[in-house]
Amino acid sequence: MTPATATSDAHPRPPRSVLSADVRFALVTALGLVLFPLLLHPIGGYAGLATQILIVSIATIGFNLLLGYAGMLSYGHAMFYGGGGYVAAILLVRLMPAHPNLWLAALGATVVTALLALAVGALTVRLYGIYFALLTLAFAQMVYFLIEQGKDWTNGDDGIQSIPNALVALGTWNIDLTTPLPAMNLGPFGNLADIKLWYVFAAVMLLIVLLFMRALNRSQFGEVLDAIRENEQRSVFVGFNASAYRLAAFTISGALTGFSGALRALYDGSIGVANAGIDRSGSFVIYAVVGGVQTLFGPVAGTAVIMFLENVLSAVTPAWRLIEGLIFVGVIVFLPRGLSTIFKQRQKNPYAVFKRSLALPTEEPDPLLKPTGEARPGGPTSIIETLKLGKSFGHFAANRDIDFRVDPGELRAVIGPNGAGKTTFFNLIAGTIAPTAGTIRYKGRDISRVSGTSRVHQGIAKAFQTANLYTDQTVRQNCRLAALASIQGAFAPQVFRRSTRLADVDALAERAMSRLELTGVEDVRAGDLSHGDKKRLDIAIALATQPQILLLDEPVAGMSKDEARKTEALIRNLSLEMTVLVIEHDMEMVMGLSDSITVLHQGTVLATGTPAEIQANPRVQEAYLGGHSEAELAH
Amino acid sequence: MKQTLSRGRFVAGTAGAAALTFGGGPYVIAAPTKEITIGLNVPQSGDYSEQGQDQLRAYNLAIEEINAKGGIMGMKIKTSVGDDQTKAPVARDNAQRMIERDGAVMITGGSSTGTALQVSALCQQKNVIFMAALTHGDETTNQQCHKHTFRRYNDAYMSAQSLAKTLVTRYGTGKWFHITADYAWGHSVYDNITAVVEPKGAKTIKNVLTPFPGTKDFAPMLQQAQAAKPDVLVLTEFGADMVNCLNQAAQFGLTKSAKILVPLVDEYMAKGTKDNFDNVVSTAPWYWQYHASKYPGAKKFVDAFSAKYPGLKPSNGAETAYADIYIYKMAVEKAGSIDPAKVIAVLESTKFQFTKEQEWYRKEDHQGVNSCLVVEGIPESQRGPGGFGYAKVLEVHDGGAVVQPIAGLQCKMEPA
Amino acid sequence: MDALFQALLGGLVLGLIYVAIAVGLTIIFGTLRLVNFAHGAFYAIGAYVGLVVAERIGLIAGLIAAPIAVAIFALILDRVVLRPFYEKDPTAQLLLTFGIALVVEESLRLIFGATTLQYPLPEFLKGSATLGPIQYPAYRLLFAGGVIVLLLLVWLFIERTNYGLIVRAGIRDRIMVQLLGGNIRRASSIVFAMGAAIAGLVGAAASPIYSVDPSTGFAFLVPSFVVVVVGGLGSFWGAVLGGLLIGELQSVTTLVYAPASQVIIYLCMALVLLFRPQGLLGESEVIRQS
Repeated sequence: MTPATATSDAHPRPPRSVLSADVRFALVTALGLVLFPLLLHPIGGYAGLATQILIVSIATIGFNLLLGYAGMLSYGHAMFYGGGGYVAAILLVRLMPAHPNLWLAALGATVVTALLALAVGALTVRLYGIYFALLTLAFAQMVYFLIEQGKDWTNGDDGIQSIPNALVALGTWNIDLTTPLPAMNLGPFGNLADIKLWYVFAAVMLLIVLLFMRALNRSQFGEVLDAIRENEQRSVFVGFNASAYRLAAFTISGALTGFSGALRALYDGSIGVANAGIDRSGSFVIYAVVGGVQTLFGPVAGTAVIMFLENVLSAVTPAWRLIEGLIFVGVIVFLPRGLSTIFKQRQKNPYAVFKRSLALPTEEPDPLLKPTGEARPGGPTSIIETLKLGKSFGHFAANRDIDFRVDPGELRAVIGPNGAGKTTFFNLIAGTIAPTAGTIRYKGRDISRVSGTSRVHQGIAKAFQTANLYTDQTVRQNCRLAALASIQGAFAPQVFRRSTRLADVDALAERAMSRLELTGVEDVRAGDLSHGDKKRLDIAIALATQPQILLLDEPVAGMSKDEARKTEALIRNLSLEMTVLVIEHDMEMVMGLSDSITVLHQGTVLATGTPAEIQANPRVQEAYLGGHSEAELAH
Repeated sequence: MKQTLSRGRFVAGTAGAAALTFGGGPYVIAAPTKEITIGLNVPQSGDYSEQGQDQLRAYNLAIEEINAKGGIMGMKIKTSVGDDQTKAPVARDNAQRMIERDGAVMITGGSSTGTALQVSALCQQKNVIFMAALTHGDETTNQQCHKHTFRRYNDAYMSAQSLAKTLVTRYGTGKWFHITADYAWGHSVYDNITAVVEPKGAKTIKNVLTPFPGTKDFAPMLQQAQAAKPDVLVLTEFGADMVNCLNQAAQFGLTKSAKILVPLVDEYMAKGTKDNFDNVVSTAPWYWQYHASKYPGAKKFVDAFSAKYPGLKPSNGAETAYADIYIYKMAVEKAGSIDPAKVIAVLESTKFQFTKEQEWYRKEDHQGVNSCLVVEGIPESQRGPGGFGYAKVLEVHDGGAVVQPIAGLQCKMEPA
Repeated sequence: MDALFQALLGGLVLGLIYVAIAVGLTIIFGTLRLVNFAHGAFYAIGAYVGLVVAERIGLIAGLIAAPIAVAIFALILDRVVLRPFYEKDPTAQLLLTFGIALVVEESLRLIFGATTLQYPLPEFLKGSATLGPIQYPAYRLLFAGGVIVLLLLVWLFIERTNYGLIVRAGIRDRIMVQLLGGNIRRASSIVFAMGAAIAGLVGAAASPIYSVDPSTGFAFLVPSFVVVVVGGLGSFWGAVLGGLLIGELQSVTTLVYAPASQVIIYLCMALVLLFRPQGLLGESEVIRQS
């Protein structure tokens, strides 16, 4: 589920040792960081390279938060890396040449790059794929231009040399990181004195960043980010503000990269404009992809391997860049496993498809589900109402002049021949698309311009015509995500707290699953469910958002007759507690189930009435016979 | 005890030297051993890679020669090579590896001022000598000079002075149009040239800056030059950019309608521009045909170079690379130590002669004082085999006459 | 005034080069939904093959050999590496083609060296033509004319042939193309090879104007992507409009403040992406699919 670690499941195992998993993780990582420069020595590396690798790894981790976790390929991260370096350098040179303080410089750079990322992210996160990559590249090129032209501050393309050696203030100490460790001969592993305090400092920083990322991956924030990457549309319609999550990820990513850039400039004692250039942006892509974007240590490993090659192989052969390119392509072509999730690769079906027969629906009302609201059937207030609602695509009017009104608690069917505009109408109500004319009122308030996500939180939920699920996640996880959005709100950037601590989320998800008779398949991957179970899971997800109106777009389409009848019973049961709008072609179901029916024809309302009235309406018969067989109505 | 520290570390000199320098740098001094390491940091890819590769040939030749004769004070020279890609951060990382891993006692190479500045700053910090090779921007030995950095190559100031002195009589009052690479070196060349020719009556019509790096199409700039009908067109571009720019200038007929100046040229740029280089005036610190005919040291170098690399003649970047190794050898032997402080002291105070006239480094800024040639291109048909031999020498300017006066320097050298 | 006229003419020629590269990029995207970061590599291979053949046989032979060689390379690439990636996330395609571009660039560097090469024009093409107040290099005008003819041919291919039908359908209705099933595979290979061949031809034809080095491909790739995005990914006329717009913008900016002539195209692209993400002539449906 969360990409970071295999251990991050919803129900963690009880710890086996006295140390908590986090402490064990920290200890093992720290041990690795202690051994790293020593092991690098015999294969041609050196302590300085080890230090560089750890510092740059932080930037790659930041970059990878976007690529691996949010599924966004930035081609402009050099603006944060170079930007962070320049800010740190300028802070030291201009503001504290006499008392260079590393914390102030690095944190100042981090704050500035975080703000830069927030601003750039606000403009870019609504784009995807190549568009997102190119827009980030465009902003990076602008930052590069400013650095190059801003000669008074940045010294143009000469760069800033001789940055003051910043000290680490720790209590009353001021630590000089260029101090070597005490001399001690370690045979083939070099001498301890080759290692400067800078390495220790970089290792501590990297360890902190890794712990932070580990927590973030397993946190509610990481879980939602994962969900958005896997299925953004579904995420929006369970009530997550996807843009806000992407923006938060972008900002954290930029800040981490800026922090890394600042450390690198301070370590080098100099910075040049190439640190903000397009090649630098490309290098993060290479590091992350080679290392494996779906793993916590991937970015570190990729950075280490490629930087090692660059530094050591380049001294041996001019073909080193070709080798690097071949490794890169090889990883993409032959090792896609690490990349599987961002590429939405369908895994081979590891489970048999479940085929179950449904039990009879339970009849008791559900205490967890919200009551329908203030108004009761027959009261003066409609729950949803549209006035002259219209939607045109170019010259084609998919919906026009729709006046529509549903009372609270009603079960309304929307029918009509193919192409009548039924799905468009549902999309308008759910907020998937914006109307080009007219208004939508929900409980008397105009919601025409309210986003789909907000409508979910106000109580309008939708199940899709084609089941829209998180196919790589289990049934339970699907429902938990919806429940999480409902309980925690559209944007709850909890980067440390895990959602598994939230009992009410579990309870809500359980209820939704049991209401749709999904017991027994809770831990099956959604993509492996049978068709009928997929459709019911889609409804369960909608239900877990605690709706007051449920929009069901052909809920029984493709089901066997038996399954369809049982699903119909489930829907009837749900309609006891909420308003239900249903699009359906199964006329037997429509006539048996609905309180009233609206017929759409050629994008507008042809008739509204009780099932009996509609059956008797000659215009309806004509509309259907015009385009369809008589059998369809008579069915 | 210290000797066991690492593999590539050199060791040399006397016990006294050890006492003096211990703690100052990454090297360790004890009893004489067999090897020292020199870092060769040159571009083997990127826009300036032709220059870098030629430098590498010359470095290897010089080191081979020296090692064949017993090395420097009995120490064989080992090399640590890096491809700096003409990217400053890469050059810096390479130099760091050469120093920290391989224990390089001296770093040399580079084909741009941008890389030279970063390596220079690092070498100063690490107490390692940096013999900057092909860097033409003034900063290397002026605004951003360092105690450990020596640059023998002519700087932009010297080229501008030389060009101006040669041309001002003929074009001094004409209209000058500049197309300048928008980075430090380009600005420095432009400032220098205009500062010299404008007081003589030359009129600068316009200076169009070209984005650096990455400009492929110079047509928009060249069109402006064409419209302005200048007497002199100065193309301040280097390496592949200069080749592109001059070739495109020829397409616009500018090589015929205006006198073209290129501030700095070498064999490879001239080869790339073929006949378009005919009649173009430029400067070069060294030119194999000219120097081989005048100085035995140069002839020996050119012959050895062509013997080792059949069909090739050394470019001026190769020559400075070759000389840098010999100069360093001379300095170490005279100092009797590889202690940087002592080597620096020798370099600051010694006159020497290898492939040119007698020359020296100024102690105020560590700029090499040696001659600057003003050359004029000849057509391809008149060139030698392989396209080598691209120009005739118009005038040779004495280094002392064209170098920036000490009074005008902004160099603040670190104390010894 | 003359200066502006000159800048506009220069921008037109530059723009046409961008258009020529971008058209291949855009029809490949439109038909295969492939975001091809390796397109610049096709240009570079074409330039090198053209140069080598031209130096031995002649310019015309180079112009014939280059697109053929690049088309063959593209077909092999399509068959061996790219095919499994056509239906994947565009991010995977971006990464893969970025990697291929890297490998091609470095292979060219190893084969031909980093040296800047240029094919010298035959004497009769070296002259310049007089256009009103200005002199313009004849070969550049010839090149511009050639690009216009090439564009016309591509347009006829799209509008008049069966393969063109698939290109058009691909741009408008991906699902319909998929329904056509089996023969679509061969058609898309042909479209891919054709888009690549155009880039190769342009590379060979432009090598007397711009000298060639291994990084040439990338240098033209990025502006071409900008062109395609500004015009509308997948749109033929979008590529034409975008290319001319970017060419003119760069040329005129050089007149005003030359150092900004690179960054200006990114500024232009950012504005388009922010206010009309589907591009000037793009269909909004495309952006959701990519």
